[in-house]
Amino acid sequence: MEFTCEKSNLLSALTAVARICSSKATLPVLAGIHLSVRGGQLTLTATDLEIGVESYLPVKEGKDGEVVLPGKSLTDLIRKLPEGEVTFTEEDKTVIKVTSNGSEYILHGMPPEEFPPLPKIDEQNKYNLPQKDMKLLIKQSIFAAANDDSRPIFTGCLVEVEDGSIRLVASDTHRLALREARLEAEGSPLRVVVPAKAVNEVARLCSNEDDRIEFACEANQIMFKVDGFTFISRLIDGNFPDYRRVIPDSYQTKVIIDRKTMLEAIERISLFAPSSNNAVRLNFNGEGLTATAAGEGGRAKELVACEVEGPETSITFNYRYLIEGLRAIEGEKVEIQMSGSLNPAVFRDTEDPAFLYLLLPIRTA
Amino acid sequence: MRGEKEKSSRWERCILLADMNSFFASVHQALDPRLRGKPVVVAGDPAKRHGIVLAASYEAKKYGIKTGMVLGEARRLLPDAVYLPPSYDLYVDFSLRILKIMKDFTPLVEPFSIDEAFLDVTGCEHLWGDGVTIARRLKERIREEVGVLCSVGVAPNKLLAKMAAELEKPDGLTVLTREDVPLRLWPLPVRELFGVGPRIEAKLLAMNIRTIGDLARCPVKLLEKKFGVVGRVLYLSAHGIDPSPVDPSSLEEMKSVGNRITLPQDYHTLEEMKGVLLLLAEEVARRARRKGYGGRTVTLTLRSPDFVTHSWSHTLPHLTDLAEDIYAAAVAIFQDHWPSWRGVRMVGITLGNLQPLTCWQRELWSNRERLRQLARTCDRLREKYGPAAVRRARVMSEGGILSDE
Repeated sequence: MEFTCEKSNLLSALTAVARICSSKATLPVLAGIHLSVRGGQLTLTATDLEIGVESYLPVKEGKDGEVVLPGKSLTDLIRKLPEGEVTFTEEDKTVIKVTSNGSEYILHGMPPEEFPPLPKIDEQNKYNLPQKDMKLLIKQSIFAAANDDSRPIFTGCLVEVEDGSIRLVASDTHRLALREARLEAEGSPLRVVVPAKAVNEVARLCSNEDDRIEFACEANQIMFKVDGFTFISRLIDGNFPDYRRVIPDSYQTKVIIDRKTMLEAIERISLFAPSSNNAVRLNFNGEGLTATAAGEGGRAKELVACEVEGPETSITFNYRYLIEGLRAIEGEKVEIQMSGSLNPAVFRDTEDPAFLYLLLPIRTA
Repeated sequence: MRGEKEKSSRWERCILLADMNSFFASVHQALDPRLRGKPVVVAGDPAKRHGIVLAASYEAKKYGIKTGMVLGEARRLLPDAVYLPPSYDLYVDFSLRILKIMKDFTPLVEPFSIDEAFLDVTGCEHLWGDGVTIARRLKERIREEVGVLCSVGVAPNKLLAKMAAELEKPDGLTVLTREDVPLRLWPLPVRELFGVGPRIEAKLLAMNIRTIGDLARCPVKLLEKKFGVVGRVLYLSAHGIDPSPVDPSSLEEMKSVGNRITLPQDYHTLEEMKGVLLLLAEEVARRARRKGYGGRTVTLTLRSPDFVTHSWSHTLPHLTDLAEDIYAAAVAIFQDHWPSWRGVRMVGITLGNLQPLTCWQRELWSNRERLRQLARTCDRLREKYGPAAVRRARVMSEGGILSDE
């Protein structure tokens, strides 16, 4: 194997891939990055068996071949090299010489046959959408997924395609975030749950532009493709409960409030919430929102002006969930729909009907 | 002579009890100058007629208004008083501020109720002066910094400090020594003695013991026969003797609840263990619920037949007082850490990181709230009909250790 490429190009392809390899992996070869050269294209692959990522880079032709090099040392070395061309030459089957600006570095690799191949996904049922849409879909849903794995289905993000729309839904059972986007081409219906880690990695690969991201599913795998990268993840087994049934279709009290003002008020109030339950109490009436909290360190009260329609409502939330919901919204104004102090409240962006945040209150004694 | 006195005073403790006068009413007066000097009554829901007086300012007490009085009666006595609903947040806040001032004098502060605390200032005389000086400075600081008056008792033990504080109200400062007991305490009715409630009082009256002095003169043997250990405590109290220490942690929350059991034979498999884990989880959860606590850390302790003991902990995502959560965590720990070839001789479960469980995050797709209701109902049944009244089928079907509770 032999190839030459620009240091900076190699580095950006490497760093995206190196995030997946783990030095704590059970299989030593998984701490490595698989390099393969075929006809002037270098393919870099890493996997932790849950997710796998490939990146592609044109290189100056050399000799075809493959090798597995330790992910961390390789990335660290390339990062520290001066700008310019880097050449990889095979010294022996698993020994690679890296040359750059007249310096030489010998890396000891691993036999490429031991590296597990990424599953092949049938690309017949492909969906595609702008990368910036995908980024927003992920950003506005995955934060609500569960951190603990007592119920694994909630550690992922439901990806649903139906009637020409794609929906991403995540819930840790205390709250639920949902974002929807139109698909230009109506694909076949899909309902799968993708691990949070995979979804977050995909968001990193997406740009803020209109460049497309493609994805396809087969059996228990999902594949995402963006320019220069292929990303594959295992799906989470099990059935995500029917989220439609928990979204209320009516409400008693509706509030329109400035998002940033409310967020800042809650962030201050939250400093006073008891650490055992993070409870902050919101009261909405004709005078606006009164937010209060009382804990070990003292107590606080803030008034925020807002439009309130319907009966006065007092409701207690975990401030962490409240803050995350308000941060996820991008518009200026938030609409909050409530039905008393015990039922779920719905948060929406007044300018963007495609996002919804459902938050369950804390029942106080 | 002099040397002897110094020696005795070195062994003598110096205990203060500070009792906030008409605490709830005083808090409102401290916050709102318009209420100062006026009769203020804090009562449950003044909007309704049937509230009860929780506190009355001294101005109101002059007119015969007492704590515990029905609101309607108070209004008849004093229609012009300011009637306020209680704001417990405020009282807790004031109470914490007062405790903070006390802790400037000594770390040995034992909160006794929301408006009373003991301070052990033994050995602080070189820092702050003698007990009376400290009491005066404490009163001054609480008045100036918090705006509440208090009565302080200064004595060689908690009992006498408490009795002393009762002697002069409001704004009192009373010193009581062992020598004062016959003169100042013995003439008082026996119910005035700290520790004598209505039930004990009735029994003492039946023995023709009417004053604290009567109690002090009663043979201790007789009291012990009648009241057991409490009889001896009553006798010592009547003589002004109380060795109990000022314990700063007395009101601090419980930290954990745990239970362990030695198995009738060595268990190996998860199937064998499940029954006993559920039993322990149930017991631990029930004890936490009884105290109104929830925990976040489940610790499983296992002892192998060679008497090697291991513990592992698992932190839950939220506070719980449910056997189901504790059991699931214990099973997960067992599966993760215990090889099946290794026998279990003893098993214990502890729920730690306890905190008062006052509220409950609602959940989607969860039966936890219903399980909680069920658990509470079962708790009530067990309280009423005994521990065997309700049991899980799983626990009943297991033999051996589980059948005799």
